[in-house]
Amino acid sequence: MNRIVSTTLIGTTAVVALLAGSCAPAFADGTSTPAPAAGKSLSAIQAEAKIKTTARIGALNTAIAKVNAAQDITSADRTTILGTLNGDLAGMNTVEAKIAGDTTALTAAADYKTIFTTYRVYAVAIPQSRLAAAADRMTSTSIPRLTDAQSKLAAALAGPDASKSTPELQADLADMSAQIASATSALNGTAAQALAVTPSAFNSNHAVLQPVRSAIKAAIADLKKAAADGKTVLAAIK
Amino acid sequence: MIGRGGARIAIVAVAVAIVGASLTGCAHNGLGGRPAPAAGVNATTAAPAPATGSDDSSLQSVQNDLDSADSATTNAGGDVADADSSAATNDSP
Repeated sequence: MNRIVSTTLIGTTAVVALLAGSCAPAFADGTSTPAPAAGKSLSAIQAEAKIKTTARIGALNTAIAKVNAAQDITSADRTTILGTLNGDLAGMNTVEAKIAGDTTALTAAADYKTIFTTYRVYAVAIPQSRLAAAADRMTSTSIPRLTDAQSKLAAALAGPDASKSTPELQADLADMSAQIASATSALNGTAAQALAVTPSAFNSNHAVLQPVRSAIKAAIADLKKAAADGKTVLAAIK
Repeated sequence: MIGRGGARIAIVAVAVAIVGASLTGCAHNGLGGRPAPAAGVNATTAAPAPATGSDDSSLQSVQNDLDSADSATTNAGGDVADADSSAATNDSP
């Protein structure tokens, strides 16, 4: 009887251990080191937390530099983006110091979790800042410049270069207008939509930024096609 | 009858009349064979040539617009690549 009980206990323990191992979350940042799990020592959790926060601080500083260097982000969006990135930067430093000062593994493990769930630096803050910047670049530069080019080319084919006008070139001009209109529509509100996403929204729906990403990629394709149309017409006129 | 002296006088009178008429015409038109320029227009201004195509500066302006748009769109593509790269990094505990 005692052997049976003992064997059952050992078996149960083995199964629990196996399940705990297989369900342990993947380590963030693409490294193979497992995340601190129950049973990790305080010092181990603190060491992993330091790695995680340091990596995020570096990524945030890079993202901030890019935002500061970008010329065609709107003033309002720049303010919002920098507010989020600098807020997360301060948050990383705060949580890193908090975990370093924790005195129990349980508290440290709970704090460790907030590095991810409270900030979502990689999943939300940096992607939303880059997507908003992309939308602003196209709205403030690509679309106005292509619209100007289309108008000038249309005027040329209707005036001094009328003798060079062909149905194909007129079709290119019409397509250029259509592509610009399509991109304008796709980008409408996308920067604001990207910047409105919060870590908590991501926690509820990991695909929350996907519609913004898709709209911006579609706009990029539209504007590349519009530019190609413009180059075709310009080459025919030259 | 007109004498030789009278004929000479007549020839001279015709010549004077021709030269006078010519000078009058030049004074009126400014340049022979061309209408007088309007007030404020330089007499050497050439008549505009028929349109044969957009000038170089107009074409360069279009090229600049297209280049500027290309640059911004390419940078936007870089922004999206940054976003995708970041989002691909595991951000869960």
